[in-house]
Amino acid sequence: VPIPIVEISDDDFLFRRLSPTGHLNPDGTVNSNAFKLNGKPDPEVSVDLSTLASVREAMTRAPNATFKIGILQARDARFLGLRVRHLPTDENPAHSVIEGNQSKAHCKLLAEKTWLAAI
Amino acid sequence: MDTTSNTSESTRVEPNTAQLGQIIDTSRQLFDRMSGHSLSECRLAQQLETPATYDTRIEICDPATEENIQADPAWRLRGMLERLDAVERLGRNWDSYASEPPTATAVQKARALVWDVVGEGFGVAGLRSIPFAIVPLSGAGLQIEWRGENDSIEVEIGSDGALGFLLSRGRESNREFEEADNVSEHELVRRTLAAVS
Repeated sequence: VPIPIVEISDDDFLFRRLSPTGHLNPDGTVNSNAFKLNGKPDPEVSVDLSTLASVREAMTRAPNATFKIGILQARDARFLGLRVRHLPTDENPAHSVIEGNQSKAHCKLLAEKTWLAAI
Repeated sequence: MDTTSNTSESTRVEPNTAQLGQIIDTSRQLFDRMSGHSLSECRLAQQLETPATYDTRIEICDPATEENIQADPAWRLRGMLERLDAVERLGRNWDSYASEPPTATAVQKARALVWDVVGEGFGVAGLRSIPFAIVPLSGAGLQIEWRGENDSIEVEIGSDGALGFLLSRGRESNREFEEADNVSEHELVRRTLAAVS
């Protein structure tokens, strides 16, 4: 059964899986590398949509319990000119993507708008 | 003969105990000036002779001293060099997106860059010549960030040692960004020193 596509509003939150040993700065903030893939800005950043998954559900897809969940608002990504859309998969109905991330500056700005979920 | 590469080699400061010792001595003086506390009383001298990690906290005498320890150049530099080692030891899939850990080439280039910037910039920029953060990069590379008073620079080191950067000038709404790939090491050091000085 196809999973219905939902509209993502500006107010919706997006969950991004973060490595505690790789994606965080010494002061606990999120590093821009969280939005890069193969050394380049990730043109299709995978996130989970908060209206379809909880933070804990997002965590279940992490390799282990030490991983963190970063939260950002769809509005903040769109403000940078990026697109945010729901792109469900069979394994993850909440899967969504931030598209158009083409510059290192976008990665830095996305990271600055991301905060860690308290789990 | 390539005179450019010769010049670059002659100006590079390689990691060595003597230099670290010099920085430690400098930091001791700074420490005393700032707090009036003796480092030996706080066991810092003893701690500096033992391996430090990114998250190590040492025993402290009092809160004022703790603040100064976090601002100690030798301590921070040791922490960052240890961080490089730790990042190199990350396993495959460290990011949960199947990335490999940084290659030996990337780590070697990163270490050289850190020492180049500290060696050339410590006298002018002090603590700011020491990286703010070192993180692995998806695709087996590394990223190092330096933060100045108003400017900052993120240096990307690819798995093959290729260099790129994002330079951020100014603060908040007045910020401007400049980025590039395939930059020479000499150019990168120059830009980093400009950002932190």
